[in-house]
Amino acid sequence: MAALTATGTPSGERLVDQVLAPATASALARVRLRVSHASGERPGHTRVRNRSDATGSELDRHVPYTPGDDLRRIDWATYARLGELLTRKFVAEREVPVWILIDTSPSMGPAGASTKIDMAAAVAGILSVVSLAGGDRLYVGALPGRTSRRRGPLETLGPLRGRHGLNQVRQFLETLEPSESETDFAPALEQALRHIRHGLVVLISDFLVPPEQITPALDVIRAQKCEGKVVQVLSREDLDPSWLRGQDKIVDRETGEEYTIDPSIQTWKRYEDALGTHLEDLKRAALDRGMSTVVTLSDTGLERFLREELPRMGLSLVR
Amino acid sequence: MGIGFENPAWLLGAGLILPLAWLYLRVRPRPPAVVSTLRIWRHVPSPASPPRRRPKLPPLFLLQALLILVSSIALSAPYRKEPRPPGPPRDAILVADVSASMQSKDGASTRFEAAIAKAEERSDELAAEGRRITIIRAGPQPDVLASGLDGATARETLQELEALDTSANLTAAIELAVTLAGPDGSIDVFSDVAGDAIVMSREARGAATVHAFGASGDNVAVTDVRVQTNPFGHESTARLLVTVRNYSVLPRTVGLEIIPLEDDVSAMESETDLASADAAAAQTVPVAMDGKDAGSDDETEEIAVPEPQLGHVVALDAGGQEMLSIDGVRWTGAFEARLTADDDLALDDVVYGYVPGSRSIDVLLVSDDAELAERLAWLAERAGSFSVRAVASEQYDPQNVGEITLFDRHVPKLPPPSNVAYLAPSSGNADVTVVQQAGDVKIAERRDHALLRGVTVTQGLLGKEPVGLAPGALRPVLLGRSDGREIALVQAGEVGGRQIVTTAFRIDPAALTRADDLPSLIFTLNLLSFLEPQSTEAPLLRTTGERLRAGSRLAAPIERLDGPDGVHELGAGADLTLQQAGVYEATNRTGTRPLYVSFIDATESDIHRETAPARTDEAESISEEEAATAQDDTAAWTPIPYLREVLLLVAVILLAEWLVVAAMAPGRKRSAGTEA
Repeated sequence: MAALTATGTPSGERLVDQVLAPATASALARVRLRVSHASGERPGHTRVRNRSDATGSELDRHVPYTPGDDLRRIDWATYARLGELLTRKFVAEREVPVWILIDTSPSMGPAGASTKIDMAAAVAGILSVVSLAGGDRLYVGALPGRTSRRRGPLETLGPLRGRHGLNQVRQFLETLEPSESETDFAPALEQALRHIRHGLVVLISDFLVPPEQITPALDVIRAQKCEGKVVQVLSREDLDPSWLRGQDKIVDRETGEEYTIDPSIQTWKRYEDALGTHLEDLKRAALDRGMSTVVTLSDTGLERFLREELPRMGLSLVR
Repeated sequence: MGIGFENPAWLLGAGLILPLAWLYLRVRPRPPAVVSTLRIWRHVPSPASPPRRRPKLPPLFLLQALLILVSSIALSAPYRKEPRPPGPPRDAILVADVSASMQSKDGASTRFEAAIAKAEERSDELAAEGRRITIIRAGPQPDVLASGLDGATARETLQELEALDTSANLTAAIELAVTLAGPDGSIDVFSDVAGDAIVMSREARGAATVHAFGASGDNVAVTDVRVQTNPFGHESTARLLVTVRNYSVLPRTVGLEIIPLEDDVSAMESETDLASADAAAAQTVPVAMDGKDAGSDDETEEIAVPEPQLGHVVALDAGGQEMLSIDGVRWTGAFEARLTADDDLALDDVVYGYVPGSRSIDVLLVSDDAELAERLAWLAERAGSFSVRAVASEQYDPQNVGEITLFDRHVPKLPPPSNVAYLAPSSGNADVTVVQQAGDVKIAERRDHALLRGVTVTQGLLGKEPVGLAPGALRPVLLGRSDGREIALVQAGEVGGRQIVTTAFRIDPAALTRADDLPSLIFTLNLLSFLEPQSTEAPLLRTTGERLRAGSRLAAPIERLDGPDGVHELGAGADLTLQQAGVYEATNRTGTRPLYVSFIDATESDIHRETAPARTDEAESISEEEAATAQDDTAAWTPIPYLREVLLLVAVILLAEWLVVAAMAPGRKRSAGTEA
C-alpha cells in the first residue's frame, strides 16, 4: 500500500490510468484476494476459507483419523502428546472465477477524470490486477457496453489468466465510456453467469435505477451460488444537490427529459431523503441475499478506496 | 469633530455599486442543469407553477460593494476636523520682497510702496484676529526682522523697510516662513512676482498666499560696460563697449551719456571718434520728451548732450539689445554710463566703469631660453605697457619677483606671491600638477575666455610635445585629446587672490616677431593682460549683491565703507553684501579709494508683468478665503492618517473575498464537471 501511496500522478489523470500504471499494478500484484465462499474446482492460489482440502499450504484444522486418510497427513507430534490419531486438513486453494461487471449506462457519465465511470473502471482495474496475479480466472463485462462489440446484453472480456491478461484488461477499461442506452441488469447477469457457479461477482454501478430492476439481478447471482459484491459509485452531485442552487430546471442525462424543481432548501432535503431511502433499499436487498455493499464517491482517492472501502465490502487484500 | 474629504469627487465612485447590484439582480436565463438521473428527483414533487426566482444578493456582492465603498473613501482622502487644543494663537508670517524690481514705478507710487501698504492692511487684519505677526525681509538672504508683533509694531516695522538694489531669494524666504509658521500658521507674500513663478515646495505652496503687485513693464537698462585698451598704445586711446537693452514691449529710443567722474579723471580730451560708434545705434534722432519713440515734430526736441560728456542716442526694438562701441577715449579714470530715459526703473540706468591709465607692468621671465627673453623684451619695448626682466632658472630668487612672473619650463617649489604663468611646466607645485608627457595632441574643446579671445588655436600654437596638465583648482580653458584621453592644454583661474595660468605648451620666441604667426603673439598679449594686476590707485568696481571681502588683490583689506546705505565698519575677516548701488568710499590702512557699485541684473531689470492684476485679484480672493477660515479659530482641518487604515481595510477585504471565492470554487468545479 505504501507503494500505492508513492505512485502519485498528476491531477486530471484518470483513476484507471493510475491503477493500471506499471508501478501501481506491480504493487497490487503482491496482494491477494480473500473471498468468503466463492470457490472454483481447479487448483489455484486463492484460499477458500470455508473449504478444507488435503492439499494446501495453510493449516485449517485437525480431524479424527478415519481409515483411508492419507497417512502423510497424520499429525504424529499430536499423537505423541495426546495418544490420538489426528489428520491435518489444509485451507483449500482454488482458482476462483471472478466476474467484474461495470455499468456503463449514461448515468455513469460523463467521461473524464474523477467521474463515476472512471471510478468504476478503477475499481475494476484493482480487482483485475489482484485476480490475475492470484491465478484466478477473470471475466470483465460492461453493461450494456459498446454496441459494436457486445454479444447479447453485455460486452465481455475473458476468461483471462495470468499477468499477460492484464494488457487486455487495460485496453478494455481504458476505452470504457458511457453508452447511450440504459442497462438491464438481470438479462446481462444471466448471460454472464450462464456457465459459472461458485464464482465471485462484483457488480459496479451507481444503481440509480428502480429497485425492481436490481433485485432480479441479485437473484441471478444467488441462483448461481456465486459470492456477490455490490459496489455503488456515486458522484458528489448525486449525494449533495446544493450545487443546483438557483436552478429550477434539470435534465436527465439518460433520457434528456426535463424536470422542474423548486430551488429551495426543502427541495434539497426531500431529495436527500429520497436518495437515502433508495440506498437503504439497495443495501437491504443485497444483505438479504448475503451480499455486501459499499458506496464510494467518484472523487474518492484511490488510496482511500483501497484502505477503507474495499475491506468494507469483504474484499480484503492480503499480502 | 467632523469628517472632510480632500478629493470628494472620488466619492462618486461609490456609485459603481448600483451597476454591480444590477449585474447580480438581473434575471439571466440559465440552461438546465444535467443530472445523472431523474429517478430520485421524481420523488421530489415538482412545483405547480414555475418557481419565481427571488432577487438575492450573495455575500460576495456585499464584499465587492464594501470594497468599492472603502476604495472610494480612501481615494477621497478623508480628514478629521477636531477642536483645536488651547494654546497660543497661530503665527502669521508676512514676507516682504525688497528686490530691486520692487522699486519700479507703478502709476503714482512704486510697487514697493503698494506692497508695504497692502502688508500694513493685512497686519491690521491679522492683529484683529489675535495673531502674532512675524515679518521676513526677502533680500539676497531672508532676514527675520521681528517676531511676535502686534498690529502697530508690525506697521512700524514695515514702514522702516526699504527696497534694495539686489535680487531677492523669495524661495528661501518662503521656506523659512513655512518653518516659522508651523502647520497652522499663515504666510502672506508681498512681491511683484506671481505665485506661479516662484519656486517653492508643495507645503509652502499650500500655505503661502502671494499678493502680486505691478503691471508696468517699461524699462531700458545698461546691461554691460567694458573698457578695452590697446596694449601697444602707451599714449593711445581706449574703447568703451556699452550694452543697452530694452525690456519693454514697445520700441524705445534713449540717450546714452558717458560722464567722466571728475574726481578720478586724470586726463581728458574731448576728441572722440563718434563716427566709429556702432552705425546702427549711434545716430542722433529726435526723441520725445518722455524718452519714448515719437513721430511728431511738435512733441519732440533734440536731446542735449553737454560737453565734455560723450552722448549717443540709441534706438531699440521691443526686447532688443544694442552694443555701442565708443572709440577714441583719450582720458583715463572712472566714468558712468547713464541712460537719459524716463522709464519705470531708474536703478539700472547707470553703470560705472573705469578707463585704466597706462603704466609699466614689471614682468619677470624665468627661463633658460635667452631668445625668448630677448623677443619678449623686444615686444615689451614696442608695447610700452610692461617691462621684462629675465633670469635663468637657477638664478630665480623668490624674494625678487615681478608683478607678473612667467616660468618657462621651470616650476619653483614654492609659488611666487604675484600673478604667475607656468609655460610647459616640467614638474608640479601647489599651483600646477603635471601628470604626463602628452603625445600627439588634437584640439578637442575651446571655451570662452579672455585668454583665447582673438586667438586662432592651431597646432603651431601648441608646439611640439605639450605636457599633460592635471585638473585642479584652475578652470580648463582649452582642452585637447591625446591617446583617447582628454587633457587640459590651458588652465586659468584665481587662487588666494592670485591670477594663475598654466599652459601645456611654451611660447615660441620666433612666433613673437613673425608676421604670419599671430596666434602666439595675441595669446602672449592676452596672457599678460589677464595677469595684469589692478593698480592700487584704481577705484574698485563692483555690482550689487556681491560680497565684499577686501580691497584689490594684494592690497590691504577694507576696514571702513561709507556709502549710500550708511557707514560700515568691517572687522578682520568680515565681509559685506553690497545692497545699494552708488559711490562708496572704501578705507583701509593705506588710504581711501572710491568704490563704484553698479546694478546689473537682467532678472530684476525685466519688470514687465503681464498678469499681475489678475494675480492680485486671485490672491485677494484666496486671502479672503483664508481669512474666513482663520476666523473659525475653534477648529482646524487636520489631515488624518486614515488613508493607511482604509487601504489596509481594502487589503483585508480583498483577502476575505479571495477566501470566499476559494471556498466556493469546488462547487463550481462540480457544476462544471456535470455540465461537461
